[in-house]
Amino acid sequence: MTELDLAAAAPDILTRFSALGPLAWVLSAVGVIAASAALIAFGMVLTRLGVAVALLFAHIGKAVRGFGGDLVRFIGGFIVSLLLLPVALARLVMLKPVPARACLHSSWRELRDAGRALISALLLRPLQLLGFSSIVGHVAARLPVALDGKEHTSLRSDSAVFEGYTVLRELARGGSGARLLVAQPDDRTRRRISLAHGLVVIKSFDFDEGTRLAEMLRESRSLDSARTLGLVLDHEASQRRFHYVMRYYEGVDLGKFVRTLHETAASANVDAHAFDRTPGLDRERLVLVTSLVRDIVATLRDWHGAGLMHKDIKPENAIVHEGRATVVDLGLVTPLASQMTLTTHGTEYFRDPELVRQAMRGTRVSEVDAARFDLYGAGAVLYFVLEGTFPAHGVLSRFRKESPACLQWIARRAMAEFDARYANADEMLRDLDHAIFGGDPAAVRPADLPSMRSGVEEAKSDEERFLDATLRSDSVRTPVPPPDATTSTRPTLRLINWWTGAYRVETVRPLPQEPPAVRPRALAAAIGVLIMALLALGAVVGIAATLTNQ
Amino acid sequence: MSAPLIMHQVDTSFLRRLRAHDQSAWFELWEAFGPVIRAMLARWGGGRLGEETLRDLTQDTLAALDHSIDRFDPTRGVRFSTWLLAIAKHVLGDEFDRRFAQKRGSGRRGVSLDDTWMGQSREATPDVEYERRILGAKIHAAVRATQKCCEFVHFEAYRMRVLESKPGRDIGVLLGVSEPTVTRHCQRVRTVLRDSLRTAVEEWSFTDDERSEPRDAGLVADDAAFDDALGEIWRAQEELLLRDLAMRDAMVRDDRSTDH
Repeated sequence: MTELDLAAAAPDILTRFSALGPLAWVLSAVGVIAASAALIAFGMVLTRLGVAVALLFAHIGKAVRGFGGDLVRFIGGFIVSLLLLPVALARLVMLKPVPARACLHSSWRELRDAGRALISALLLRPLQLLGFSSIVGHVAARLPVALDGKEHTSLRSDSAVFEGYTVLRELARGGSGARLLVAQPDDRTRRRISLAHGLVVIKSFDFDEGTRLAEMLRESRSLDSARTLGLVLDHEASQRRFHYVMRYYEGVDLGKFVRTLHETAASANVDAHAFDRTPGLDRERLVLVTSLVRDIVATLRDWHGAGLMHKDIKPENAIVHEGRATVVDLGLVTPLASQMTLTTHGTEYFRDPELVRQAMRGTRVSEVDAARFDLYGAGAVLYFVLEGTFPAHGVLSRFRKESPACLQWIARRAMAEFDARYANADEMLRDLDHAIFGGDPAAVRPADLPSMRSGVEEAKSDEERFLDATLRSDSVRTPVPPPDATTSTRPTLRLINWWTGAYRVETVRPLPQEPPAVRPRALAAAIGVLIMALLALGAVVGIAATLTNQ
Repeated sequence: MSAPLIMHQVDTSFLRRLRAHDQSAWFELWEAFGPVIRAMLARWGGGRLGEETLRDLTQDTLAALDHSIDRFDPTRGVRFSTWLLAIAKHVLGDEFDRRFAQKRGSGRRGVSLDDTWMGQSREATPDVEYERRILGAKIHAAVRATQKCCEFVHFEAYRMRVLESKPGRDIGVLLGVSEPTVTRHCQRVRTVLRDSLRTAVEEWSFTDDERSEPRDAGLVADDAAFDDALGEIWRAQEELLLRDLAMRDAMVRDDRSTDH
């Protein structure tokens, strides 16, 4: 039928269609709904496909970038390992065997790193490009162990077999004597423990491997506590062994992270050492490390709120992962309402002396505000990140490096005498937020901190307020008001020299949002809706046409 | 060094508490003098003792004190500092004996404390630096006790004013108060500190010349002189502590390089 025929026939069709009465209205309504559904579903499918194409390009770009980086690392490592050989030979000729050996060792290390980079470029990156990320993850985790020749035979033994998990490597043992095994759960286990991605760490206690009953009991008590916070994903106990599973955060501990920051800062400020006071971290690094301490204090606030204390807060028990610090090691976690007597477990210089004193008196945990012991640890960690070393004399420890007065104040306040320190983690958190979210902690005075403002303002006379305002106006910059914490930015690190490990701290950049993931189920559902809507539309048109013809 | 033997009230309350195995007295002793003992052991060890060994030896020294406290005879006129030093040396000597014995293939011999360290031991001769450390440790203990008694803000004002030599005006700006208020805060802390210092010296001194050390150091004077003397001793002590810290860091680095 031509367009002219259709135009001529349209009034006739409409007349006959109207004659169907209420059925015509029903068919029209169903037809409109089906058409709308089809349009929406079509739009969704197009959007999902668009995102999928974009992610595909991003995936290819990432793989290519990784390949290029691997290649550069291989070439650089190879050249340096070759260059080190004549140096080692020269030292040997000069009868300096120890430096020569060190040089050879470095050369071997470079060659080994170059080998890893080559394997990664030729094998792992293409596999990653083809979508075998899980295999790549497994190989990448096992490769360094295999190349280092430090394969633990026990990893293959029965004691390291955990149903549903593939053990990849073993971490250094902590103070509890337990084995810490990094593992990959299989798909079924992932569903069971509700862990979509990432690795896990299995903490395993085994009588056959020297675990003592006391350690096991202490750990099992901590386990009970940690489970209430959802930190334990899985656990199992048998006659000789018990283990539990936590999420594994790939990263470096705060201790190493901060030491590296201070070393690079010191090398950058090597000329400034002539001055009386040692230069500390620059503003960006200060904000970065303080925000990591803030993460720890925020975690403590949640734990204390749930009625638990960590009892071993120290830099080595915080993992820096994706720019955030995560508190790990649940070995000494204790309920605040526990009727047990306090113990002196913990780490020297990060453990509150008052805890030791109370433990010696046989005080029960529930008889004191034990959450404050954790705050001492948090203060000591803040001291550590500012100074690069531990507070050897607690609250009386001197700050040798330059750092903002308000941060020094917060560290001292947290380490102060038991009754004089922060009442709770929330109070400390508010002070930290105020200090760092303005972007320049040096512009914040101790008097500006929220914990100080109320008490001091109340105690001041009118004359003092006037003097205060006068003094402030000419000598101290007005601090930048802290923005809303939820919209604040945190600094990120960008590697600028792959060879020396130098990096730049970048601030005032919003945290990257999670990329819109393409979910296959959602895409399938959208396609299903589209097909159903089209079928419904076809059926409506067909019925209407049949009825009209009759 | 002269050895005045004029003794009075040698059986101090502190000694009584130690003998009664009062845990908090031992903790106080550890807190105040542990760093001094550790520093001296490190110095004598001449870099041959690792961080862990030093920590163990410091604990061994206090354990040896615990074992020998009942046999301690104060009438022999030994200074508190000499008493500590002699036992630390004994423990260190025992450690070296053990190492040599291990080299020769035999086991560890048991610790035996004879009574020679109670008198003026020829070997354990305290030098000027050691005596400075001991006085510094007593002052440190007094400052710590003061910090516990005073309000946090008051103590911080005093610490900044005296121990860090900051001008009162700057402190006022930092704390959001006027300069006279800072002065009042400092006065309150100073009063408590004088008492704490008296108590600390009384507790950890066995002879008259030990008791007179604060006076000789200018710590029994008017407020300004007291602050000056305290600040000076404190900063000198800080320098020693910094040196210890540098030595400790070097040790840790050595340990790491040995591990590698």
